[in-house]
Amino acid sequence: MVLLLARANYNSHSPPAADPALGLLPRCKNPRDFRPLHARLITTGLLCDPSVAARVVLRLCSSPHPPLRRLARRLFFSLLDPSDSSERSDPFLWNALINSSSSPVRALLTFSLMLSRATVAADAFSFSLALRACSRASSLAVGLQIHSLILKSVHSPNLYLQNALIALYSKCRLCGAARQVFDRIPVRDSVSWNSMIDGYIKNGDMDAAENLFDRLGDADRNSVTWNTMIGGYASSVDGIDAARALFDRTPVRDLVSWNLMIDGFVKCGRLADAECLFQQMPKRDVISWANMINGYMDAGIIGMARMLFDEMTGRDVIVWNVMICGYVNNGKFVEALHLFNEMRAECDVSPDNVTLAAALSAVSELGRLCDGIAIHDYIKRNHLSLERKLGVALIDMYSKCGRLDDALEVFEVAGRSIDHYNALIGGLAIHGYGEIALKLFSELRRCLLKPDDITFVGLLSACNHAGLVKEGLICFEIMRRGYGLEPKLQHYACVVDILGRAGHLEEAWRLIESMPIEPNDVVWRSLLSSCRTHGNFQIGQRIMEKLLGWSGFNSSSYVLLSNLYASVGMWRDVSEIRMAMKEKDVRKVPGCSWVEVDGIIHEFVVGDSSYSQAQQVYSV
Amino acid sequence: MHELERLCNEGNAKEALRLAEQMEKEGSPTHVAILPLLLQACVETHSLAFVREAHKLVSRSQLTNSKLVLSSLASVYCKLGSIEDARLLFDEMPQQPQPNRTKVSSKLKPTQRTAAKGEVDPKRREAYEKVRELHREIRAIGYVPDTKYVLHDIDEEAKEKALMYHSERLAIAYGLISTPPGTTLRIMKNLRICGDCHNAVKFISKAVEREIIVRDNKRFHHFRDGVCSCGDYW
Repeated sequence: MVLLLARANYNSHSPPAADPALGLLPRCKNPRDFRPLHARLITTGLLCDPSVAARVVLRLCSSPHPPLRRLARRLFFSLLDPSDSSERSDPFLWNALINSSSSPVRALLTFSLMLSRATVAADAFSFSLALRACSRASSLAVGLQIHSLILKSVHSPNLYLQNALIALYSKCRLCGAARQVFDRIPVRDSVSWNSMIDGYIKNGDMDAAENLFDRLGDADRNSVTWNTMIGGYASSVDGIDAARALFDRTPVRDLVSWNLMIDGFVKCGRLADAECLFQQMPKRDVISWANMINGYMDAGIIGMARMLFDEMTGRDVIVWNVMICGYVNNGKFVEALHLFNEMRAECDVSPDNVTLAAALSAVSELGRLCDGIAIHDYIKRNHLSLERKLGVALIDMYSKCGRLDDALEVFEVAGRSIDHYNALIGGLAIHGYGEIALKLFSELRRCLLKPDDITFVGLLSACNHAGLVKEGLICFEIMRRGYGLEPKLQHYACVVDILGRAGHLEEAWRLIESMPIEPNDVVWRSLLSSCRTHGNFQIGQRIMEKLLGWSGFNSSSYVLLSNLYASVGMWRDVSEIRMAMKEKDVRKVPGCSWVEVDGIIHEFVVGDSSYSQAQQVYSV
Repeated sequence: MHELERLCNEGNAKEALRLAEQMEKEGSPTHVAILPLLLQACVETHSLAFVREAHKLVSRSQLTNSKLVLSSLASVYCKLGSIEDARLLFDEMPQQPQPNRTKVSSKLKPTQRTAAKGEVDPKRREAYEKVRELHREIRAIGYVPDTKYVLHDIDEEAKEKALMYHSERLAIAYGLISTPPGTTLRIMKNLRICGDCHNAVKFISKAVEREIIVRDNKRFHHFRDGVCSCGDYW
């Protein structure tokens, strides 16, 4: 109806007069800004003017906001009169649409629509955009078709397109084909050389990359060439020293050079060298800081990471994410949430999907439901997609905060990737709904989704908690024989636990003995726990002998041993175990429980004496 | 420098300290990036002597004014039982002005916080009283403490008392006195719930007519009207 009204208004005001509102078009930065202008263009009928519509489409195509880009597409295909061929035949507008497509598939679809129009002639830029989309999608089949079209068109040969073809074939792991294109370029530019070198590097052929690099003289290498090689060496196995040597040879190092070198040192654990370079940098950017912070976080040196973070000025979302994710990955969930709250409260940087997912992960571990709900509200208010990691994180959060119904609700509206299924299966598992988890597994199979390792960890866990021994063993076999997935330690640990808790201790023992991979202490402790539950001291002793052989015999093992002795009244042995713990300064993790009331977490520890009269209360 | 880093990463604190001191004597002080590694290696030995030696190196380095590093050191001293060393360190710690916190974004506002340790909360006392009250109530409807879960060689009365104050029961008691009737309680626990607590909470859910959800380190337990969702299999 609105479109009909716009067309009617347009017909009654022909030719249209210039409207001052159009001058506001360049100032529209977000959907809210554009909304009133859009309304005016509709009510005045100006939007039906092809030239006006074209201006609007071009403006919206360059917007960083997906809703505006989608609107551009709707305007282009809905409002322009098919009989008016002037704008529709101009490839410029089509190119803008292709370039603004959110996915390579959409870009290629738009390109194919363009080709189907007899009145539209694709230009070199159109083909380059299509090739770029093919590269993004690693779509060799379509890329080959486009290459054929190029060869038959008037655009051949075109250096720009040839460079795009090099990038495409490299991305599709066809360095030979890329090299053929490269060799046929009569006068190559720096992009040609850099693309080919980069292609060799990304496909693991450092020798070929070196050969090309060496063929270029120093005068012909630009900063991208040097940086590409530095990055290639830095990311190759045992190539860090070669990267450093090349870095030192680089005639004019730019910020990228320094950042690549630091990143290389960080990734191979040479923090001291990374720190030295960081201190020597003439100028740093956010990536420099993020690399260092990330390196320290990965090494577990949280204090240094925080020190660097606090030292920074002008932090962007990347650095906040590195810090928050680092806290989460190091098990510092409270600190992660504190920093997340600090980010929201004190700076103008908005959290992105990575931030929110990390915060939700911390919430999941801590069980802070109110925090999780607040984050979900933010996601809804900002219309963020749940199709990817945010949806998965929300399902996991609600599951682990005891709100399985909400997890199911998120699952219904989010995407249907294997990750979403995994999150929900895991949630059903920890709530004891093993049979529902199995039904969900059947559903994902009907949807032709391929389960992965995590799927089966969830399924086995679900069977374990629900006491579904037979079903658990069947899942284990489906995993191995049905999907060809090699079980990992955690899968074996789950099956051992399934058998052990059900009292099949000898069978569990035999499974461990037959494992193709070395069982770790977690596997043995799982069975030891079952021995305690079922009072089987004989097998328990055999397990103790295994565990005692492990270096780093941890507190859990000691506690289980002690508990096993205690369960059969062997108090002298209990005392010996506890003395051993004391001598080695091994301490049992105290029981700690917490409850959230009105958004405040209240913790209690077993034997809690957190207020002065606790002892009096205990003694009553 | 690489040798020192290797020793630190291997946890060989003794050799690392020796090498660091030797290097310092030779005019090559330990790099600022290595010191945290060295400190961490010393901490992992749980040796106060090693930590003190590492502290000396920190004192002679560029990190000597780092409040974060010094705070971490103080924390380590406390954990190792050397309160005096920690106190001296705090006394030497440079004081920094508090950041200006006047700007607040309207996009998302922090709504959550953890009750600070030491924060006076009169309800905590009530929680202990509530625990005793709950035990009287559940005993009246059939609960009998299962003292086999107390793995200490003590008398029965002491065992029963030890069971009474397990952390999840305290948290439940606090939740009960802090929320309106009928509100579902959600309790989190870092370890596996013991058998006696599991049984006790079933009775509590029946006595107070509340759904109580407990998440331990393995799974969720939904207690309602004397029954748990796990079917007593966990």
